[in-house]
Amino acid sequence: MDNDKKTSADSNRSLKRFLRNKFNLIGGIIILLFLLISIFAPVISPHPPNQVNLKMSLQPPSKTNFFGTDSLGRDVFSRIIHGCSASLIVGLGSVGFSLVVGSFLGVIAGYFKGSIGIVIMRFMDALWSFPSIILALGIAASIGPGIKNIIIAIGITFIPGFARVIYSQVLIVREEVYIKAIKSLGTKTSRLIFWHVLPNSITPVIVYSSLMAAQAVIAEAGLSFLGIGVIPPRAAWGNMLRDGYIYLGVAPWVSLFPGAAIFLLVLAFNFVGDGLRDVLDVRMTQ
Amino acid sequence: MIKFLGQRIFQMILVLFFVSIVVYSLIIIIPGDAATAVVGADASEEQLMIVREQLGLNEPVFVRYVKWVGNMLKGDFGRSMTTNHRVTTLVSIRFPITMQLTLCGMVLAVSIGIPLGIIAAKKNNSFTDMVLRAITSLGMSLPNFWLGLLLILFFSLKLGWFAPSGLIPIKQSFFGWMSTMILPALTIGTRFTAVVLRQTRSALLEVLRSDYIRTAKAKGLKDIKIIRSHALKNSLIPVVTVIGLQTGRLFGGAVITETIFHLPGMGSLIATAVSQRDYVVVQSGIMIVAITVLLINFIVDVLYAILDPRIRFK
Amino acid sequence: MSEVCLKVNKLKTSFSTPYGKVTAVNGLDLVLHRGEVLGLVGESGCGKSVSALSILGLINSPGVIESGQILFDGKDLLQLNNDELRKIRGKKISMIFQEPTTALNPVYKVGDQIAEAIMLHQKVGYKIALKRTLELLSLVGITSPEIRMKSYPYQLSGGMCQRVMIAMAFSCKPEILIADEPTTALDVTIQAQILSIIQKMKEIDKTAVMLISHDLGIISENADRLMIMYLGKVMETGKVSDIFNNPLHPYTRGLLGSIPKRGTHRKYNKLISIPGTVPSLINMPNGCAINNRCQYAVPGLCNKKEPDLIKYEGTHYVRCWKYQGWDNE
Repeated sequence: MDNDKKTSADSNRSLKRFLRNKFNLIGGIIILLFLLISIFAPVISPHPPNQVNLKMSLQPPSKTNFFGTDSLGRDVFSRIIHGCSASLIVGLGSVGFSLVVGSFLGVIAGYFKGSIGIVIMRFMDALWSFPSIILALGIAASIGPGIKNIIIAIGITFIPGFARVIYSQVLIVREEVYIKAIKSLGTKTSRLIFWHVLPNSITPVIVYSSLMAAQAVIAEAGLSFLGIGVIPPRAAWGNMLRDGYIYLGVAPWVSLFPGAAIFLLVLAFNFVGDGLRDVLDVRMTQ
Repeated sequence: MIKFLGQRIFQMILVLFFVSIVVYSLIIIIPGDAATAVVGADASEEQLMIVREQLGLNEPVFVRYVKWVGNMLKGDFGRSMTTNHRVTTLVSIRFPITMQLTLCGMVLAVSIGIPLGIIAAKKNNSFTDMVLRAITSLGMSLPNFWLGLLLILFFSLKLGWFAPSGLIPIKQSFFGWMSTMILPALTIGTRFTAVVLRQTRSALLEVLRSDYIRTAKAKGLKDIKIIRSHALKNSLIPVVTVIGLQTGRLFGGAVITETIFHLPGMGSLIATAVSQRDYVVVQSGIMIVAITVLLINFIVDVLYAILDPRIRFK
Repeated sequence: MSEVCLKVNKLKTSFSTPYGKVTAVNGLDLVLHRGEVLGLVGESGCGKSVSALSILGLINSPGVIESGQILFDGKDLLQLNNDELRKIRGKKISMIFQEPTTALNPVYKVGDQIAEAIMLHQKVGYKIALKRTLELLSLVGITSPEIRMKSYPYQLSGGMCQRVMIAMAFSCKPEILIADEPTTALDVTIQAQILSIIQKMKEIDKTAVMLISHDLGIISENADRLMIMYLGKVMETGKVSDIFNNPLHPYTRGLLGSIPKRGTHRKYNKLISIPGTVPSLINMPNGCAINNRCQYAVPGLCNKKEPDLIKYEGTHYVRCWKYQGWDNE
């Protein structure tokens, strides 16, 4: 009872500390804003995102087209609003994917230190030695483009990071006295791992997730920019950058505004991640 | 030291083995018949046969894998499915360009990131530190494809200082090479610089709080001497790790920079191969990139051991 | 007693934290004589270490020395600039720390770390410095010093590292050695050795030693005089024999009561522990710092007004209302 009170007071203080930091607040608000935008995209956007109007091609920003139009006369502002969901889905989806798989592998490797652990972690080292964009490119090339496939491709490249974070944490937690105490009660290993070890290893993962969400947004945009991400004509910021890039000299707005949107979202995730790191007092070498 | 080297080399070979499995499985995970995926559903049986032969799809997976690795060990990375050039020939032209780009990015990051990181740590919590931290946060979040476009827009199209794309070989003219390399290097190196700055700052701050720095002060050493000879060597150890890891990343991250600036490097080789479904080049290209990254990491580990006696003697 | 070599007047050192200002040392007065060993005793957080670090000007932000005087060699150390202070650190006043293994730089050989101090203050070359290092190492009882001086700190044990620290501290024949919990992190068997080395080195150079410890046993065996600190203030001070024979302050009695005495049967010598825990420096109690833990505390006095440190007899001083008239014991 006393303990409960203490933890709730602790988390309350953590929340306060989190919000007191202006960067966190800004980051949190931006993410929330982008979430709302992607949910209400059809309502907010002034034009349909895929409405082609060749007469209106490459128009500069104006009162009707806030961010101008692209080569097909589509409204850049509306397309940015509709592209928001793709970035968020891929960002959160791939982190979710690698979080689940990576944590599972990390816990297993950390708990059974022996040969299973060695094999898993060496395999993680192997995955880790690929620059993530190259590996994601290879995977996406094999399984094809599309949102679901990019989530998998980016997710796979993030697995070793999560596995390592969890692994090092589990190595510490498994030596704690309370884990040994629970073990001595004859608890089943699987329950011990997922019920007692994992929750106590999770704090750094929360911080890491936020930082990796930022990386995932960049990776998605990068893959789309290279033409193997979100399939056109679906609006995605990376695709828009790619389309506008050829017209950089004559119509910079086509590529600059989507780029700014990516930058803002990435910045927001990084702010939140850094804030969480300070609040939760996690030390990481990344 | 020899024991340490031996261990690291053994580890690297083990990881390379796993790497080769990962790369090889890229072909296996192609849904359906990989040959059909390459040439399209309406291809003739004859075309399919040729592609199957090229990808070695006619034999069991294990046999194919062993052959593939065997060929690589002999230095044969296959031939491009579109141009029929040897992959090794393609790579020999493109590898140096990516390496130049990576090294330029690294030089930029080290020469700007470390000094600024030291300043930020020395003036911890001052206005200078705040500004540097804000710049670092921005730099960490700047997607390089967007930064590249901004740089082209401003420095090439508006000011006309540098060419927006292409590369003048270093042998032809050093300054020409510099002028074509500077924007790509900035594109690839900005985030890296921010990472190095942040790492240097936090590592130095941590070291400056340590007991042995207090001892050095109690000894009566000058502040500059304390930072130079006691703090820097210790705090550079994690920085070297980060530089190593990031250099590897950079080598791969070059894909986008090379595409933006039309630089014929490894990254654009792989990106083009992906869009042309040239799986042989994709596979071998990724393998070569991974080997390079592993080698860079190995060099970093050795440096690390030179810097830190605790590792050298363990 | 012999000549005074260090005098601290009304030293006040505080730290600003997110939860408010914390005064770690609050009006410390201290005198150190040539060649004596002064013990500084108290529970953790009582300001012993901060006092020591203040003397050498090693307080890092967010810590600040707010006021006071530290008189040494005819100068107030608090008025000196950093360069002038540096010439005193390690040369005239040196210090050893609690964690010998982390107090040495892990990436340099221990011999070089000692030689560095010698080269700095004695303006000699590397070769001469190394020769002197060798002598120092054998003086502090390190066997085969030629080999040990080429070791890195992690290759040495804690006791060995502390010997290295002592050698470094005595390398320039300092007038004062501040030993901040020099044996706390070491095995009990090593503790006595380290303390006897400090005693031996101190005799050679007639160095005054400020021995900081939470362990009254160590102080009683090694110090000439002692000061008992609590929450940044001195509670009682005097000769070791006076305080051990006639402890005045209830806090001192509590501390003495918590050491098991040798020779007496356990049954008849019940360990006394001081009730309660040290209050946080942020919510300092009103009145006497210890009134909330003191069984003799008089409501209306002890929790309202703070007593001064007054003379009991000779050099024996105490800060307690009990000795200022209200108690007719």
